[in-house]
Amino acid sequence: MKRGILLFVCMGLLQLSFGQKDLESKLKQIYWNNAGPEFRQMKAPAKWKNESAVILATRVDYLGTFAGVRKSFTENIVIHYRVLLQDKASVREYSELTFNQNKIKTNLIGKTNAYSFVAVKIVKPDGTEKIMDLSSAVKTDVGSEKDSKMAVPDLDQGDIIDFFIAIQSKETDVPNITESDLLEEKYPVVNKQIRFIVPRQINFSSKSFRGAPEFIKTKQGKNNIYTLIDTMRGRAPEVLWDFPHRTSAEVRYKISNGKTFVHQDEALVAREALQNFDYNNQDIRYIEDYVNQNAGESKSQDEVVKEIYYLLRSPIFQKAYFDIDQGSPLDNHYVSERFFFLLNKYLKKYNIEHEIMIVPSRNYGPFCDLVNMSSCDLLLKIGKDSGYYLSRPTPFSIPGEFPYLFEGMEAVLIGYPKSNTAARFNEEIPVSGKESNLTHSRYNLSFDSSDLSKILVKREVSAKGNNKAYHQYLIFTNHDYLREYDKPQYQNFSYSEIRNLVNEYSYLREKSEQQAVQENYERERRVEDDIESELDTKISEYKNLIITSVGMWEDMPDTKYSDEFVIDNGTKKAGKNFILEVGKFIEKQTELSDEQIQRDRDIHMGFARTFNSEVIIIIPEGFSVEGIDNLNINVSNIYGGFISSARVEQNKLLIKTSKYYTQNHCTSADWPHMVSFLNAAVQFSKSKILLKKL
Amino acid sequence: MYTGRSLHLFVEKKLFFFLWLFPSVLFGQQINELVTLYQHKYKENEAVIIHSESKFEFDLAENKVVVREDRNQKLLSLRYNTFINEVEFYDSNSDIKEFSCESSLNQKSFNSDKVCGNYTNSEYFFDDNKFCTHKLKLQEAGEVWKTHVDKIYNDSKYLTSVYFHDKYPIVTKKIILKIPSDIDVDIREFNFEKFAVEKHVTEQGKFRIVEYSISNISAMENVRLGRSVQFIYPHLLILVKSFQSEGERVNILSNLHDLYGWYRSLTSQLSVQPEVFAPLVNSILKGKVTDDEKISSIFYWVQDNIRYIAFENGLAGFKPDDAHSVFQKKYGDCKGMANLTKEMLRYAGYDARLSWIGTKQIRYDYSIPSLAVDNHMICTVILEGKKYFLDATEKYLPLGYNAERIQGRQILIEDGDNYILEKIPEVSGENELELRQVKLSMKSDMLVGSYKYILQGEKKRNFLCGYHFSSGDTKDRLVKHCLIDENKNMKVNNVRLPDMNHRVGAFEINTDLECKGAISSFNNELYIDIDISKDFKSWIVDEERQSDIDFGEKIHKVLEVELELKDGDSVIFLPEKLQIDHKEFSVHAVYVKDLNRILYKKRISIENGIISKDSFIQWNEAIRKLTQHYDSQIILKR
Repeated sequence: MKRGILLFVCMGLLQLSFGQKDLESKLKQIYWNNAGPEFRQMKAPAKWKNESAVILATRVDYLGTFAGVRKSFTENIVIHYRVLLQDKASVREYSELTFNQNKIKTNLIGKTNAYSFVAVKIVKPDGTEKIMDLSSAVKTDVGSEKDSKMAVPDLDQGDIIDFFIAIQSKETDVPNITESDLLEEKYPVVNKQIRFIVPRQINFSSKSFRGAPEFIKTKQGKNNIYTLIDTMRGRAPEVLWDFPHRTSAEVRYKISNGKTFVHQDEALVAREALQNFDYNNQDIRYIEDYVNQNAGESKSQDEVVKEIYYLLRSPIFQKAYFDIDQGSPLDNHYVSERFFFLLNKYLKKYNIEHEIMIVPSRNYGPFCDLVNMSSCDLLLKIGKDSGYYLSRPTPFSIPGEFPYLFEGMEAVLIGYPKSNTAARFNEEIPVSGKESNLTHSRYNLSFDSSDLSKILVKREVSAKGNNKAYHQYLIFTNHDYLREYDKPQYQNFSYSEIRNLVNEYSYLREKSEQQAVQENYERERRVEDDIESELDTKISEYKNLIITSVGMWEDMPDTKYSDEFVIDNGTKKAGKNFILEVGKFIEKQTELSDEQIQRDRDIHMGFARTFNSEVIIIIPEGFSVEGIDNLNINVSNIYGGFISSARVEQNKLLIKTSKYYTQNHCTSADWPHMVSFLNAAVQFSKSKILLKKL
Repeated sequence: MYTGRSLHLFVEKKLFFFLWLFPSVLFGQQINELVTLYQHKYKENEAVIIHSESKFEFDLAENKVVVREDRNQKLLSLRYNTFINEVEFYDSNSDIKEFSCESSLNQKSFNSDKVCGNYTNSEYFFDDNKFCTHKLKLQEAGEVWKTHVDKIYNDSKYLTSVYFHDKYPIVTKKIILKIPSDIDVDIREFNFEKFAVEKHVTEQGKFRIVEYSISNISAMENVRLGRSVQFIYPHLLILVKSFQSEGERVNILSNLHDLYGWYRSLTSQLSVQPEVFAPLVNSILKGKVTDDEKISSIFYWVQDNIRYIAFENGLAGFKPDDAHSVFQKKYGDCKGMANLTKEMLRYAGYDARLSWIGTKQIRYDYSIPSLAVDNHMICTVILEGKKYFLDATEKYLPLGYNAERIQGRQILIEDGDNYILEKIPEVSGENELELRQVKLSMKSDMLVGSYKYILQGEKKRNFLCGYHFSSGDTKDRLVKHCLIDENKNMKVNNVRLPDMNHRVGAFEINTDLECKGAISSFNNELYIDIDISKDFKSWIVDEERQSDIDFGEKIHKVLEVELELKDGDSVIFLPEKLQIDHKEFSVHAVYVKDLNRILYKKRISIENGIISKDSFIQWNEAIRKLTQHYDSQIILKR
């Protein structure tokens, strides 16, 4: 019996190796020997002669076929590239390849039913071709996405590397495929083709944006063929404040089984998804227990809901409902959709008016432009017009805050109780103004009387709205966070499961004290580095960090802290006088290069915002200040501005600046307006004053 | 009576004594004190090794010396709720027999729980390094993890060095070597002078027991511009020279002759097929008349056409790839490239030879018979008594110039059954100049003018390499970076590059220069900053740093600025002259008024490219003065 099995295995291996050879030669025949003329191209257009590499041709082929009596669906995907390497940098890039070793799966009678295959050849400038033997590849290191790597032999500047990846897989049904493909790549592309060959029963729909060509439909037997050809596409540029999926050529497409009805409008898909909230069977006993123990009758519904939000944000309940480790609350955790189901369940049960929304993100655009909902997220609104939003909790989010990428987007919604909200289907998410996202920094500067190159700095920082997060993660530690939740209302619960988690929290809270020294040390280094980067100077003696409010509770929603440090070489000496680069104290500015000043793509930023600064300088005894006039600047327009003023009061020089952006988006035509105030801020940041010896 | 510091030490010693002897019965309070103590002392470390003991037992097996390492270690957690990885490396010449961990909080990770895989050193494309790891949870501060490793070195040649330091600070560590009398092992000690290492040698029957102990050492650093660990940390070099077998002495690596003999045994296995590259050699030699032309054309061809891709797999780490194979693949490691250079030159009629060398990263020389003494291979051509050292891994290196990393190093040149031992000549600092010559005049608040940037030697080679291996826009960025760093107040226009493929001689970039905001005007006085390259400004070194600073090149940065004054401008103030001379570095800067010009000359030199730890205080003092000098401005009255 055992011998029989062994023989069967050996025969299987033989079949596999023969099968692989046949398949290899068949695929190479199709994709290399029978490839179209674009894959025989040897030269790049002259205008791209200085590019590092040029993609002479690239092609994605998708062939979907039903097998048997539609019992399964076979997908064949081939991705093919032909790249001309024009300099040593691109030769270096392609000289070491990583890939998954070729794999082939056969059924019991030896017929291939799935494979993954890679083939690479080098084409020399004289047209001679060398096919790489991938069997000499070596294993990649642990952690690599691919299993094999290989040094490409005999690769030179001027060579073409031509490779394809062919994958066949068998699915039980027609998979839903949706893609958003930017046509620009790292290198310019001479010819790009994306082609889908699918049975007529299968739905294919596509959308082309910003100059991208359309898919052309043709018929071949029982199949439809959808082909997109794009030619002479420049490489993807690096652009400041850019959402590439809103500014560069792109095709989005969707494939689905013709048997099932699929909405072409993602807003309808979203609306359908929201119906899931009608069948919500979440267990909210732990939440109810909390409310029963902590919310007396004096608390309004709003207050109760907000308390539930803080509860679900707490390390204890993050563990209870979302299985997030309590010990490191500031790590990048993801709170699942369950959050919305839990709240919805509670709100429905207690008849609290609310709406569940699905909101598309600004960086992929509105529903009408989407082919899937991967860029969308859920949002909850309590109450109606004057209500407030609840977003997926992050460590510092508070009721009323939501991700800035939702701003201005039209959401679809479902309201409860349905009788009150049946007429509403959509809502435009509000856009925050420049005053809502505000950072204020106050620098008090004084000089060491024995050494005027040394500046003693006391700093106060406050931030609100979307400007907060940067500071919150800068100044707060896991230890601080656990301490924030050390409150009586999070201690008493009726359920033993939660009591166990409270014990775990208490244990971790206590243990976190043990490493406060180290966390504080790391925080100080972090803040020091941040100051040195923002002020472009070295500092020393960082001390006295006082966090007045981290901004994670609604009653103290802003982040506020203060600290002190010394700038050792803060002034430039000129004879008996000193020059102070006072402009540095408005912190690092966006300084545009010549290339960035010319722009043909719209500007997409996170949010409107304001940065206010106050710099108070105690003028050292025996010195006067010169150069104040240069500190008064006012450049403003509808997109933003930079305004500064300076005056001397007694022995102090008082400087105030405000830089603000009024919009989160403007068109490329409006870019010069932005450039004007950005440059004004840069000009100020280079301002100097003279401390002149009297 | 105890002072504050001695009390602190007393507490540390007392607590440690308890922990070492009775870890299981240590009171919580004592553990807490110890944890607090080490948390303050080693703020950046997740754990501290409170005791480590490694025993190396030498033995004979199948006519080879094998070494068994048995290591036990106690790791005290300084963090809570944190994961660390305990990693042990091995390769084709060693095996991990057992690797297990157990904590005082009853966590266990057995030998079977270890996860193993490939781990290629970043210098190579592929090597035979492998690792095994245990992911350990530091559940709470004060938890003690015991780890045990049992590792075999199947051939003692490959056990070259043993270090005392680790990735965590160590409270006490012992290294014990148990050597039978029939094996001749020479133990060389390095960097002991700066560390208190105790040594005891005893005899136990037929064994010699050598025991080293060290205490209170910080974690091994991973710092920018760190010097090779061989120069910094105390360590042992293990030289297994010979053993007795049936009354006969069998040499392993008893002297340089043995080492060369082993290398030679590998190179003599190489196959030579000159017909593979002969057409190319004939073609590139066409029209070349002098020997220098011929040698350089082959040398440059290998530099330009063979990519450095290193496979260090087993013996391939020591044996060069065949020349024809490297030629066909168009890639190879240093040995493969040296061998191809040699064979192409031999085909061309030259006496070319393989040569082994330890770069400046290696602190040992060939007086030590060990595989640790070299890490590189080049080709040497002997022609009419003159030697050309050809390192084709150094792209854009001109013939006759030796890369900084091998200058002054011993080189072992093949010579049949014998060898030639020589030294690569050093190049003087003047040939390693980075010179900026600037002529400026005043225009509004700007300085404008012409700027000449000249590079020599290694600097030029580095620039050309960086340039040619950068793509598109990055090339322009690289040029700008070299000319004006990231200074957004400066702008270069009309950049004229020289022939970027020309290896020989100085390299000169000419450009127009604008320095915005370099002139500050207050009333009728102009405050001017004409130093366009504030090299080493605020470059203060952490004096606690363990490693010397190794710039990897000699540094000679010179700036010459000529500022043209306008009629009627009078000079009110010129910054003072700065002159600092130290055995390792010097800084000279001086402003001079000359008719209607101000001349400024600055020179910063770091003769060997090394600032040793012993010089950190003087270096920092010099940097403070230099930074003050940079912050000094010229004042003109207009």
